[in-house]
Amino acid sequence: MEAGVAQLRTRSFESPRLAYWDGVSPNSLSLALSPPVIQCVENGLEGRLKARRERAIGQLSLLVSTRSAYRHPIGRRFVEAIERRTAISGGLHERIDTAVQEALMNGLLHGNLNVDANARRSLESLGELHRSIASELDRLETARCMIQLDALWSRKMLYVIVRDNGDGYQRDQLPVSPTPDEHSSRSSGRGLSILGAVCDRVAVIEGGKTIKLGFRL
Amino acid sequence: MEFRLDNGGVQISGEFTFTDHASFKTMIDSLLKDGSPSVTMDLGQLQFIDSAGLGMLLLARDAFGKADRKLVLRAPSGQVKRMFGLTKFDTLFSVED
Repeated sequence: MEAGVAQLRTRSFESPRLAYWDGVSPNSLSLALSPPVIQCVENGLEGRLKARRERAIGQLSLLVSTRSAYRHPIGRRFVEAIERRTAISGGLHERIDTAVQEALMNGLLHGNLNVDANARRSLESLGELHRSIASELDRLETARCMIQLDALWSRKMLYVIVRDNGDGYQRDQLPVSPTPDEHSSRSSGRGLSILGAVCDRVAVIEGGKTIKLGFRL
Repeated sequence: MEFRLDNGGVQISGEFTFTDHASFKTMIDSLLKDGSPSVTMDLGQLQFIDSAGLGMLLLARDAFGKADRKLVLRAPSGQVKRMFGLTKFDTLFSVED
């Protein structure tokens, strides 16, 4: 932890609003996201900023790799960091937490890791899926593929934007929300309907590579 | 997610999300080796579940069904109970308070 603090202080010396995360633990991420930081970038992704390919939006931004986002509770720490900057009530906290987790995992799995929606068709298939994801995360190209979280808020609304590096999708090409009967036979495909239920606004943009979640404060 | 096998059933605690799929499969494989007609999954200490966790519960239900056994979910609360309500999961399982 001490080494992480030292690194954070050193690397954020040029701008107190920009911090770097070592990718080691959720605790070091919480530290890196501490106010007054408005943009946090995982070590190794600095080049994306220098090339200005990833632009921060709003009042808090986090850019991490697929490998770290898969292994650490990134969404939870990001929501906690938002709460350190603006008041969120208990019930709303749960809805934001649920939505960010859904959107983040959706972007990771179906965007950056390109996991097929049918990959979770049976209990047996989970073993195969596990090996496939482990193999993908071992590939440097996939593991370093980024995922970005941005938050912006006013007195009335909070928006959390999740952006992945996948190929995207068209929302109208997705299966319609399952009826209660169809629910019983489907082990995946509930993410967007859950987002619709827990968010006040949901927008799928940039060809499915970005999802914008809105909450009334 | 943490789990503890207990008298033919299991207690699950913590957070149950997609990244738990390997340990969840291991847990269900262990329970399938036991021959009791009904398996109870105690969710009283489970604090968070996402859509992938819900989907894995369905896979477990189907696996027990193929073995002519029944999966019973017990005591979901908080966010987990609300997710069950949102997705009508409480109509797809035997759920005990």
